[in-house]
Amino acid sequence: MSNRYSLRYKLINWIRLGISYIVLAIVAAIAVFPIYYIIITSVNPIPTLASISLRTLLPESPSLEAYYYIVFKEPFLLWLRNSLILATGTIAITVVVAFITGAALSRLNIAGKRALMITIYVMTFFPFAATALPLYLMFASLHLLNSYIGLILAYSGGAAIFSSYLVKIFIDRIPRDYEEAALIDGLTRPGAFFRVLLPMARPIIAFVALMAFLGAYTDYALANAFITSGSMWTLTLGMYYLAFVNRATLYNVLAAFSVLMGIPIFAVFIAFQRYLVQIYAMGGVKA
Amino acid sequence: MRSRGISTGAIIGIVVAVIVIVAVAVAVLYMYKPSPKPATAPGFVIPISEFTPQNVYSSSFAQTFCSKVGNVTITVWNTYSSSENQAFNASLASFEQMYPCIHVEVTPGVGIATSNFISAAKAGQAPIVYRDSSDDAGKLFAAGLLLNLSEYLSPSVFEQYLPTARENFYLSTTTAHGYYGLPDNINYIVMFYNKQYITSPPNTTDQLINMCLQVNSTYNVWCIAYGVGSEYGYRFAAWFAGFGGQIFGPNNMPMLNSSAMVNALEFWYNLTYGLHINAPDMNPSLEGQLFTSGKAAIIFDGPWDLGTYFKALGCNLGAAPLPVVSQTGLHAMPLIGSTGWVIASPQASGATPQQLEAALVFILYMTGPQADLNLWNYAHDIPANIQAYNQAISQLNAGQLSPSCLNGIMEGIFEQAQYGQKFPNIPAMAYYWPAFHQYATAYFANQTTAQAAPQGMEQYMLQQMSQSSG
Amino acid sequence: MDPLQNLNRVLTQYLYLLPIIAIALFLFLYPVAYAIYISFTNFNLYHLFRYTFIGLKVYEQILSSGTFYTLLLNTVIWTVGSLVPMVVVGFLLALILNQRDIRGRNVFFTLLLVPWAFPAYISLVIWSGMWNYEYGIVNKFLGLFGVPPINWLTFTNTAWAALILTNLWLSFPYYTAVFLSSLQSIPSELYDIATVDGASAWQKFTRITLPLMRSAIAFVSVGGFVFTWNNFYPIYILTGGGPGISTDILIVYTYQEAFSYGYYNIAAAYSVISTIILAIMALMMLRVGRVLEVIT
Repeated sequence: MSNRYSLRYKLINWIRLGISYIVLAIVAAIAVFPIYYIIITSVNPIPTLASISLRTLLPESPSLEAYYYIVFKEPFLLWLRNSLILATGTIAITVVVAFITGAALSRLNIAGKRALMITIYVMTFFPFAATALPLYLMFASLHLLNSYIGLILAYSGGAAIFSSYLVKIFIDRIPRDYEEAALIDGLTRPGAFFRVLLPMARPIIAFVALMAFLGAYTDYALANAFITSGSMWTLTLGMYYLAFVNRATLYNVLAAFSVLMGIPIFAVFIAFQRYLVQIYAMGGVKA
Repeated sequence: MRSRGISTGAIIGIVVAVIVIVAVAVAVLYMYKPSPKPATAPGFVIPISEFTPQNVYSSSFAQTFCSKVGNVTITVWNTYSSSENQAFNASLASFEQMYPCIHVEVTPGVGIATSNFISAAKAGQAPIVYRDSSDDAGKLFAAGLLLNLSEYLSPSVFEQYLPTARENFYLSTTTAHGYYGLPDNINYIVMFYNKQYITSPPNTTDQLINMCLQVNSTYNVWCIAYGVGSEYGYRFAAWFAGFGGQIFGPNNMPMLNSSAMVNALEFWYNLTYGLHINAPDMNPSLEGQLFTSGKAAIIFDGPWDLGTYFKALGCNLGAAPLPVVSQTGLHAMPLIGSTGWVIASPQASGATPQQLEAALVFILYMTGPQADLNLWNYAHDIPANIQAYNQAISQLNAGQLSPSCLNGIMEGIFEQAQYGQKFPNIPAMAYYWPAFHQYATAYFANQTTAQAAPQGMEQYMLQQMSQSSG
Repeated sequence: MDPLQNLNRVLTQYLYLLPIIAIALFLFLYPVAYAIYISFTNFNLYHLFRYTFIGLKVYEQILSSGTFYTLLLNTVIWTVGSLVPMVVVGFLLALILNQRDIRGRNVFFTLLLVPWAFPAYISLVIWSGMWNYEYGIVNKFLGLFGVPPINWLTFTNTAWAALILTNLWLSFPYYTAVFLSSLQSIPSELYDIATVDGASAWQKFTRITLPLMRSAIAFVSVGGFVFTWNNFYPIYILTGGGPGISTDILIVYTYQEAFSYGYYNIAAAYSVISTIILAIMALMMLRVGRVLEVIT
């Protein structure tokens, strides 16, 4: 190959890579900037949000006042405990239901399953604004308000349907040979599901658990309607109470609280990174 | 698949569908059972005449009450801010000491005018006692969700409150007639200003404009921070009245479509986009930020934020009534509203007569002179109880507030009360906010003219009013 | 097969579906049925305990008012206007990240996931401050390039731009991730064979990449369409539907009807109409994209 050809080739590659890196850097900066903004707002001693001048992009006199106030002066740990209880309960129920349903839809030749799936999917189109009241009334008459179980059931319900589809599509791609072999070896159908399929479905189970956690951990609307006793408040309720007083917003408190809430979410996301990439490879499924 | 006859799969599908439908129908009918109606007879063991403010604070009455009523629990939804909560907790402590038989379950941090109250009422699980604003509670009362206190308390009880405050909690419409709450404060906006930029407050709007043009050019700060282009009409009602308008006319019909509204809108448009003395694109948080950091000289807000502003500006803070509108010679009259305690109707809360009695005692106590004075001392809420109000005034006159410049500020705040308008509490008032918001924001976005906006507002209100009666 | 054994088998199969059917029944079917029922009554704050059946009056009211059509148009603008940039940006970023010689791909990818990981309503409160005319970061930043400040959220056209850009920020990581994984699942041998056969980059893209990505694009677009149509928070927090109702969409208006005024029956009727329209559009898109075969 002549020198001229490889030089031109290298130049094109250089430009291509250069543009790519520039674009990625800009996009990453835009993606991360608001979070950086939240962090510097949270270490600001005055409740300010909009920047009065560009100088405030670098924290002037950072103070952990807001954090101290939230963690020590308010029942933050109580709220954290409640949020975690609800999230864990939701994960447990959602994962179990999603796995059973997804495995069944994928492996069993159930009559009318296509119609069932489509009907259930269409039902979730209905805006929550109109279903909130009947849902509330139903839980009220069952005396499930103001209890962990009530909220866990409500959260699980919301997450279970999509999660079932995700599990089904994932399992569709797993070859049936392994279960066939197990069934021939004398394992029952449910045994095959749990002993053979479940370990292979770990990535999607992890994803479903993550989505269920997020849904329950970051919900405000349902928690606000269902919980009426202060000892059962979740983090989101506590954040709203501390940050939105009268008509003003204490932005530094809001930001500090968001950081405290957001850090566990980030940590979980990073930890689940390798599973996530496998999930997305299923050709696009909506969380 | 064989096409002979109906396949097994389809049969199964049909059977499952039938089971599903039957199950849903059964569930719906089951859930639909109307909640059992509580006893309609009063069933009170304490005569109505004995529920008086004096009795409630006397220990002999308390003892009689507890011996006759026994142990009872009431649920209370608390909507106080954190400084008011200090007062509330102090009052609650002394209340529980005096009435050991009444156990109070408080839910903190509830929002005023929360829709949770309505959904809870529908489920028959509303809290027995709730603290709400007079206009939102008026809506609830008209809907039959609140106890009509006129039927449970003698008229003299209501005499212990300021006339404005007590009228705020009185409704007289075709569906509801009587007092529906006991007030614990009166609230309205005033003009707070920064003495660094404004040495003496303007009396008229012409003075305001002149002062503001000077402030702008001399100090390079915004003179006024008032988010008029995005608000819902609570503060604007003062200017509407100042230009000669009123929200409701005779027969409780809206009167928003008037030249007063046109002039008021144009006035503020001019100040914002013409003279540039009012900061554009504001919201309440941002206004507060600007004012506390000295980037704005004037803010229109209420004494509930006094603590924040005093902490930031110290004795540079001043308070004065809203100025007189030069064109009409009328004061800008803010809405004077009240917040107070209401009791849910038994149908909404499922309360027994004994719980209602305890609730009455509770709200009488919390709006009594001592508890109301607590609110003044801890949070500087303007008391609605006449005794507490007079004590507050005498404290001011004797210059007893510390630091001493606070006395002057509070005097300015109290002065505004003379120039205010009654806060309408008829159900139709609930439509004023969205009507104003929709057309005022459109006007400030140059989407409609100052003449068309008031027409739109009034049409909107009329349309909503006809819908609710249908 | 013996019919009894058959029945036994079928019943056991449905046993697996029992949890999801129970959930669908109680948590979805019952509230939806209730909402549909009350849309034919005068159930609202003033008729909370005793209400009567009034038939189609609510629907007549809605369909004869100009408000509904404005809301419908706004919802379509919002949904389509958000979806197109999200898919395009997501796809482009995925293409860039997929290049074999990109270093630090994982670092970039993790940073790009940040907007999606952070709870939306918090980010939205921050964004509403960033779009402020006088004190927002966006105008300050544009000012560095000499652009005069824009009053974003006060005027309709700029409000739409701000809303769509914010929504893009919120959701693009998801689309990037989906497309990136789809791209990575295309075997590299296909590209190698094409290179040997003398195909140009553009030909490789249109003959290999696009066709194999079609199902991913279609599925994600439909899901995104449905999600954005009912996406309540961005518009509620940034503009509240203003100015006027020029950025109000069906779901935000429905929420206001129900929770601000207590008109549960009107909210229910709006929901029914919105769901019907959405279902029709979604099913049409699913047909066209031939996605149904993929998922069932």
